[in-house]
Amino acid sequence: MSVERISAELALLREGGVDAEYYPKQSAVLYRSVPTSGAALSLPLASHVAVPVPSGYPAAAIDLGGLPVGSPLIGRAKGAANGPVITIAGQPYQFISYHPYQNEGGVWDPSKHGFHTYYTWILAWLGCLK
Amino acid sequence: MEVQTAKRLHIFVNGIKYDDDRVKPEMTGAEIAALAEVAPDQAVIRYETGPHRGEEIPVDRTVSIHEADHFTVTRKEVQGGAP
Repeated sequence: MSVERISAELALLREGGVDAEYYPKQSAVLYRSVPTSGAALSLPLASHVAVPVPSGYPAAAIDLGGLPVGSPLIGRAKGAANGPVITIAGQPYQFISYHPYQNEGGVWDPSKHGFHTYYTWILAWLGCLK
Repeated sequence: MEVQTAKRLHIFVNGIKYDDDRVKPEMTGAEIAALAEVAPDQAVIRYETGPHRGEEIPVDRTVSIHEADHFTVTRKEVQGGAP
């Protein structure tokens, strides 16, 4: 895992106004205030999303999305609860089985993909609430 | 003789800045989606900022691009998965 690499990836997003931060102790990235399609469903319009840094990153593809425990988006975002709960800044996050590079057609290329491009997958995920 | 270099037009798609040859004064929705690697048949493209904020751009519509325009590109559907 490359701390410098992740920091550089998140710096690209911050230039575009995306609030994202790496938490090394939890080995996770937190995207803050990701917009959702919840307006028509009376659900939150935005949510923080935690994503684990996979073991072996960047050779290993990024996977999953984590929502705040108790969030009304759990069960409305596609996928089921998957794996442990992690706590970031006092907020526990439940990982959900969302697999862009297994089920969604993504092809992982560590030379161009990372936590900056994974944001597109997270936007799509919360843009398809059911 | 003074040589002037044209400043490259840049836009942001899903938070990432693009200023390469793919960014043009006029672009289709599909071309914007391609920057985010979303196929046209799956893409939902919207203005993220400006007077058209939130407005959807069909993949076959050509729009004028302005410096530092922001767009979001999402997908029509995602599958999710079993645990």
